[in-house]
Formats: sequence, structure tokens, C-alpha cells
Amino acid sequence: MRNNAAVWAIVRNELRRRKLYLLWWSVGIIALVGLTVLAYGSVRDQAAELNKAFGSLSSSISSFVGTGDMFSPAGYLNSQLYFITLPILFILLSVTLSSSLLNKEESRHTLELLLARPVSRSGVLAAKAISGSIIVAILGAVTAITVALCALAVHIDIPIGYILLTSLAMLLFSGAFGALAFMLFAASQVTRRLAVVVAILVSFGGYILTSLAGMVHGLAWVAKLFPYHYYDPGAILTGKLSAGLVLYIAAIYIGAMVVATIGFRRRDIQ
Amino acid sequence: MPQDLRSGIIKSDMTASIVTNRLTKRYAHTSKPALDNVSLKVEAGEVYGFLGANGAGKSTTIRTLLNFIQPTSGSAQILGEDIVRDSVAVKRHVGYLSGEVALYEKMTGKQFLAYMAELQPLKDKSYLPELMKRFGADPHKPLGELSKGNRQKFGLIQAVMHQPEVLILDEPTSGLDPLMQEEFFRLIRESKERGASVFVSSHNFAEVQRMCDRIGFIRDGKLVSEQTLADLASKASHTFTLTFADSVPLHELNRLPHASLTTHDEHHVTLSMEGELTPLFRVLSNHHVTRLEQQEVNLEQQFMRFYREAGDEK
Repeated sequence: MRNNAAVWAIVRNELRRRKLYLLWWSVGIIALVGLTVLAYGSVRDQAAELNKAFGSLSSSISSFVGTGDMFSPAGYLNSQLYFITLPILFILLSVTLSSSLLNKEESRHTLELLLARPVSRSGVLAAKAISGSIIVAILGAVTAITVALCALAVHIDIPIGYILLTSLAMLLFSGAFGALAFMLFAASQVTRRLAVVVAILVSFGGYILTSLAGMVHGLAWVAKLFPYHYYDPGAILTGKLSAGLVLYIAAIYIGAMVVATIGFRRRDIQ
Repeated sequence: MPQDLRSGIIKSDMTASIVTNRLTKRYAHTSKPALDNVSLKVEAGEVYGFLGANGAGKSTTIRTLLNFIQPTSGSAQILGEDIVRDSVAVKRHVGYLSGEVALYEKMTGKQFLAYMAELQPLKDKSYLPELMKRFGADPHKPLGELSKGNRQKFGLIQAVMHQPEVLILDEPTSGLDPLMQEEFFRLIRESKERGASVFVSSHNFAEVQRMCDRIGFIRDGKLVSEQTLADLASKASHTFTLTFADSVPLHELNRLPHASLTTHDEHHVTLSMEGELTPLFRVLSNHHVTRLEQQEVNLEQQFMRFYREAGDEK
């Protein structure tokens, strides 16, 4: 019971400390997402012509933007937001955030203040993971609500439920790389920079591999090892959520937390 | 001490607050252990000073006791609970001050202490305002804007505010002005009076002498000696300045065991002597001594000598 109270005290403190961070990220997301979705109003009427013109582009280009249909409502949201832009934003957010949650406390030696109190290492780790998840979830909610409201404003004909589901999938997909960085820092004594670099390499390396897999025959099986292979926001916007993505994401979160907990409980605090 | 420093075995004792048994910490890629078979025992209500040069292993011992780093071998218990297995239970009874006080820079003192109290509730809520008043700590300024001494005050307050049974303090007076150091010594006496044990590391002998019942000296990761202050005083050399009405009886004084002489002139001599003083007074009784002055016993010098000898033997 006492450990739980301490965990929530750490969570509250972390959220208090990151109020401004949360505010500025929210402002940035609202501006970026709002402007992108509202811009659909100016291309909607020429969607058919534009799709025809862009349809002549090679399949390699299509694979990099996630779709050959870039101007239908679902194609627009997919190509302009959910396939690259938002994942890049949220991968950077979750990787840098999750790697700093423990790193900041450890490098400034305030982690000792926490661990000198009757709170277990796994309790501290859980508190940090919960704090990071809440921050990312709030920003995910800001994103989803902004997309939904702006989509209504420019009459994008996609059910709100599908927009919310796609936002959730994007959030969980991007957050998985944050979980990877969190695990690397918590379980081992790699530097924060190295944890960030590895997580970013896996995410963007996976994106490039998945994009190239359609053109380079031998890469198809390698691409299956990376989460981007299972991430298809265009399909989710039409209500089709792949079981592979759900399983992959669940496996990464569970695996990352298990490894982080085991490693963090055993390693020396610097 | 009921222990053999060389074998390093200490039997568990119900009255001991801190017991370490052959505690060893070896870091990867280093040939010498940072902590080498350290066995010690701190009794309930005892103030134990842990002295050593920088890098001797004081902080490593403390960080191991707090389970910030894990021992490579050996074990330790605080109030009978294992420092690794029962780490959370141990910390219910421990107050800790780190050598380099790290605080949350943007928090005010009040916010910081409230946060610490959330993590470990206070037994007596009136004690915190009392401590704040005694140390003259400013609760409204962000901690990052405070001087080293004022930050140290908050470090100390957070360590003692929940009135722990065991206090583990790493260089606690660092940065404190003399008035605050006095307040700190008072706090240690009070903690001792209510039965708390204090394990305090320092490289300042004078500070340790002020508050400790017993002193352990660590060198190159090894506990090289443990002494009570009384032991040290009894082994310390006594220094006298003697004035004779006639000439100094150099021949007789030189024959005294464990004595060394410095003559100033025909009538004055300074004599340092270890152990039994009877032979000296036997010599003096045969002469006309007009003045005898004893210099204060320098325990620090004695301890340093003992430390060097013990280290060389090891």
C-alpha cells in the first residue's frame, strides 16, 4: 500500500514538472495537425484529378508515403498525417521523453533521494513508465481530438470512431519505440544518447526497410521483423485493424517492461 | 570490538543496527576492489565515524548499504534486515544524506520536503517546522537558487525529518557554517539519545571527534582500523615542556622508553612519551623541576599514525 502511495506521489511530481513541456507540445501538435487537416478543404474538390496525376507515380514512391491514393479523405489523412508525420513526431516525443524520465533523475543524483525512501526500484520504474504514458496519452488525445474536429470542419467523410482508432494505433505504435528506449536505459547502463539512437534506428530503419521491401525481393522477410511492416493506418481509417500490429505492439510493451524491471532491479545506480 | 578485522567475520547481534560481513564491491574493468571484505558493526544508539581519504571507499560503503550499488560478495543487515533482499523494509528505518547533495532545483524547499514526506510519512508532523526553524532554512526559495550551505540544510532536514532509527550520512557538515555545524552536532546527540544509530562518513577528524563514539578508518577499500576515542587517547603520546632549576638531565631522560626529546636551552626541554608515565616521574622526582606544562593530546595525529601503520601492515 505504502509503495503504491509513493508510486503515485512520484507520478504526480513528474507530471507537475512537465506541465510546460506538455503545454508547448500540445500547442505544436494542434497547429501542425489543425493546419494539415484544414488544408484538405482546398484539395478536396480536385481529389479525383490529383489522384489520377499522382497515380502515375511509381509504386516505390507510393510505398514511401504509405498509399497510392493520396487525396481521398482516408488517403489524405493517411499520407499527410498517420503514415509518416505523426509517427515521426510521436516517435521522437516518446523516445526522448522515455529516455529522459530516469536519466534526468539518475544523472542529477535525485534518483538516490527516491531510492533512499521506502519505495522499491520497480515502484520507481513503474512510476516513471506511468508518467511517460500519461504524457504521451494526453498528447495523443490532443492529436485525435484536433484531427476529429478539423475533419468535421472540412467535411472529411470518415467516422470519428475510425479516426480515434487510427490515432490510438499511431500512438501505441510510436510509443513502442519509446518503450524500447526506456528499456535500454533502465535495464543497462547505456547512455541516454545511445538509447535514443538505437530506438530511432530501429524505428526509421524499419520504415525504410518496409518501404523498400516492395521493390527489393530479399527484404520482404527482414521487414516482417520491424513494427512498420504491420502498421497500415490507411486500412485502420477504413476500420481494418491488423491483429499482427496489435500483437507486435503488445509484445514490445510487455517485453520492454519485463526486461526493464529485471535489469533496473539488478543494476548499480550511477 | 567483538570482531577480528583480519578474518572479517562478525556474528549477528540483536543489538546491532548495522552489520556488514565481508562486504565487497568490485567494478568491472578494475583490478582492485572498491570495497574489500569490509566487516563492521554499529550498535544501537552508537555514533560511528567512517574516516578515510577521498576515494578510500567511504561513499561506496554507504551506497552499498543503501542498495544503490549491489555488493559483489558479502552481506549486510540494517536492523536485522538484508540490505539487498529487504531493501524497501530497511529504508523505512533509514535517513540518508548523500555526499553531493542533489535536490530538485526548481522546487522550493517547502515543495521538496512535502514531496519527500509523501514518499515517507512523518512520525511527528511538528518536528519538520521545528527543524526548519533550527536550521533557519528558507522554504520559499527555489532550491537551485540557494547557496551550498543552505542546500545542505535541506539535505539534512530531509534525512532526519521522519526520525529514523538509523542515520547514514555522507560528509554531512560540508558547506555548513560553524553555527549550523553546532546545530548539526546537537541533532546527532538528540538522535543518539532517542536510541538512533548514526553512521557518518567524513575526511575531517575534528568533526568525527566531536560526535562519534567509535571510528573506523578505511583505506583502499579495506577497513584498516577501528578505535574508540578513549582507546586513541590512551595510546596517544603525551607531550610535556619541562623547566629545570639546574641543567636538563639529558642522560636520564634519553634512557626513558618510548620518549623523544627536543632541548631548547640548558634548562628547558620538550619531551614526548607514549604509554606509562611512571618512569618519567621517577626521573623528575630526583631533580628540581620548576615548571611542567602538558600539551593537549592530538588525537588526529595519533589516529593518522595508527592508520598509516595499520595500512602498512595490511
